[in-house]
Amino acid sequence: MVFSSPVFLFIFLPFVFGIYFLVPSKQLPLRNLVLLCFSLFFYFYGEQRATVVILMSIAGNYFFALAISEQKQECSRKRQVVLWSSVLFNLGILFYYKYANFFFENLNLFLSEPVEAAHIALPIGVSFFTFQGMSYVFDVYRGLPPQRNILNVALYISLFPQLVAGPIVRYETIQSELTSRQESSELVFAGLSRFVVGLGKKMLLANTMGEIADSIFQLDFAVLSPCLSWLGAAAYAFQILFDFSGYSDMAIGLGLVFGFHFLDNFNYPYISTSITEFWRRWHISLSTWFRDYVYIPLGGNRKGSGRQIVNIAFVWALTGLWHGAAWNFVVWGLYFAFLLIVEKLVLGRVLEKAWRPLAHLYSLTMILIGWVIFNSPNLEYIGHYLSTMFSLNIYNPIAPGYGWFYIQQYKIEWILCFVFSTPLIKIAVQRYQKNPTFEVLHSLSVIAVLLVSILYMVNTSFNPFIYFRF
Amino acid sequence: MNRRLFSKLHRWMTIVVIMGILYSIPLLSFLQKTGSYSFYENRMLAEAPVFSVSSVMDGSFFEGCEEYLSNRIYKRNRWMSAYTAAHLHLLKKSVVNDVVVAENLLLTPLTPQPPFLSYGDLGVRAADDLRRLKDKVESVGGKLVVLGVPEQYSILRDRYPFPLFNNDVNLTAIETTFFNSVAQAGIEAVNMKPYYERSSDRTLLYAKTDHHYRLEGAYLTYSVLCEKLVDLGLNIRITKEEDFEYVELPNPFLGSRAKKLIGRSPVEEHLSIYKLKDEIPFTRCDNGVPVDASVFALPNSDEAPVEYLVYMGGDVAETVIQTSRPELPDVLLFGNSFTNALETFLYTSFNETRSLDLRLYHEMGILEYIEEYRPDVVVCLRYDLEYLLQSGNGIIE
Repeated sequence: MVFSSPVFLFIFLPFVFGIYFLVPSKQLPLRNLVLLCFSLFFYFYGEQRATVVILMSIAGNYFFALAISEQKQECSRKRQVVLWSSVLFNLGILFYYKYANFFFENLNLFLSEPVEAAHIALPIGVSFFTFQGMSYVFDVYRGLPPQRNILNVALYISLFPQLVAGPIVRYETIQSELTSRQESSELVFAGLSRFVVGLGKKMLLANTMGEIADSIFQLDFAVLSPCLSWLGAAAYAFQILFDFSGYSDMAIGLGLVFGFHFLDNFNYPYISTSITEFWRRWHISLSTWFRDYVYIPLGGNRKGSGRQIVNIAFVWALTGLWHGAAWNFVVWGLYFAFLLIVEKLVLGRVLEKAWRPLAHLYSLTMILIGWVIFNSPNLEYIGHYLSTMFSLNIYNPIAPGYGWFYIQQYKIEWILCFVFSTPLIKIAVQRYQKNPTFEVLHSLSVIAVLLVSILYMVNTSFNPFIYFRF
Repeated sequence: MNRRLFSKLHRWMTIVVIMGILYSIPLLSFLQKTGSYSFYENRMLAEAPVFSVSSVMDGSFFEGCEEYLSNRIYKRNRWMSAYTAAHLHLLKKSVVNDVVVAENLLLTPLTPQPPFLSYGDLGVRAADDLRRLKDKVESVGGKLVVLGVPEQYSILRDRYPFPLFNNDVNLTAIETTFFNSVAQAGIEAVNMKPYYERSSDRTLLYAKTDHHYRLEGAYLTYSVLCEKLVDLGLNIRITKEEDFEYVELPNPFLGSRAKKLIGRSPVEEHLSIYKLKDEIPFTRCDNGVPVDASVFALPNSDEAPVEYLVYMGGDVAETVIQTSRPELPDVLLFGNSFTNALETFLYTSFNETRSLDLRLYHEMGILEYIEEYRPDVVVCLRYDLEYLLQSGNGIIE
């Protein structure tokens, strides 16, 4: 069930709101139980049989955290054994469900007799809930008290707003809110507004940019001109930004409605002047997860620059793989590792002193190249697409000027994408939020965005039958 | 009103409105009574899924719920119509709901593609099929004519607004390959494209909002075809323009492309029917069942929108029109919906007119049909997008 579907918006959400707020606010455990039941149903709705995987993850991490907390601090060896067992358990789930097919496909390239691997379906959100489960065990290992009640662990791991697409909520972030939190009309208002903004980003901007990106990335290379290929990359960049940040906004907004404060996951990444800055602004919950739970424990920058470079490369190869079991994701991760290392060693200082528009241009160019790698079906495609982007043969005789169609047809959406990818609106809101007129305008805009998003949502069900093709 | 009270009131009002939307839409959706048919989409709407343990466990129940709610959402047509109007008039898009909105014309959007290099093989294959058809027709003493008509967007391809792609190179290559192959195989063929192109305004022959030709285009096709048949030695009487008069229907015409715009088409047009000055009595059977002796299916009122279905009542697997004039030859016409408007004229020149749509007719193959009914003339109507395809009415077996 995706947040932008009618079933979620008009069936699931009214039920969960209705039943949750019918329970008196003093009965927090009961409210938690309501949320947990709806969260598990939410998962079951999309993954009937794989629900057992998330239940397994909940149970496993609950017991590992308890086991760690029961060891005294001085028994560091035993604690480490349990910790590593939990890592193996979680990575085992992840490897089996996400990477086994990829592993055997590649292994078979080197074997004379291929290994017959069972094709394992990828459970939705496995990367997210596994990382949350690991975060729980790590944070308990670092000293936070574990949850004695397994239902609270279950709620933390399966909480539906962030269950299938993040943000990755670390245990330390909402640990106290699991057992004690304030809900108020301010939070409900803020949460609903944030949810609607996210829905609008997804329905109005991401989906539209997706139409452009999909059609350009599917074009025959004989038709693709440099202009079209850059447009395709830009459209994909906006699509992935508004799709992902929209989903995060919806998750954060729903969290607020129920009194949870998830951390921001995106902070206008395309205004960055370096790739280092970009990764401080993009998918913050993932990059900080890797930073705190992998990069720093590996030694980070504390063991010399040589080791740091190895650490960066390792972490970014993992980051790439986390996004998907395919070589283009590994290449994508290593591409950013390379840029981050170069910026750390040389380019960073140059960019700090450089004319800001030039630094922006550099960042955006590198980001777009990154998205081409990310969105390509295979390594060969990456080569073709990138060579087209940088080709000097601008004129395409098959469909001359076709790129203009994507600009003209989607001119309003392009403008909105540019505006919403910068903090302009946020600045305006902050400046005028005390003004009553602005407050009313803000609310009217939220309601209008909701209605327009529903308009788009309904139209996606428009499905003319084949008589249009005779 | 003090500031805090105002903020609180305004916050609650916003929450109430948002919640009102979230609760009222599903409630109204379940309360409203809707039919099962979507007129603008020409399809049945999804029915409520059946609950069972197996349908829940395999996910089909939930998929069914998604589809059902999407299909039955409150005032769905109004939402879609508003979406279309906003894209047409507010955002001024040139492609809306998979329709190109050109100047006073609706076309189909095309994805740019490079010239396809292997048409030659397809042409040979298509000609081989038609040669088998010709052999069969001649074996029963008949004559075969292949009649090629372009689709609306093809004949109006020069009307695509810049920079939209019109696929001219491929369409021309397909046409050339097909007619060269057919000529090399010794098959009589008529390519209607040059005839239509001679017209000062091709939108007088082809619909502006539909993918078919208009009745005027069908008449031109009929007269060119009949002249060809006369040249081949057939004794037929061609209905001349002075033998009938066009009657423009007052009803708004809802062409297939306009239909996709949910009735918000910025282009308006009206269809025509015709009246013979001297009526030719006939009987008509559809799929073996006698039906009204009419070649036009007219709506009940002048306000109701009409579609291309007005000609022959739409696609029928098999139609037989008998005029009881044994001195005239019998004709068999097969092809897609382009045959419908053509049939309204064709029967005037023949004793018996049989029409088949092989996409719908499955009782026997076309070769067996010819063997059984032994027509004097077989007209194979192909439209240019399927000249080289071996599907639908291109299946010769």
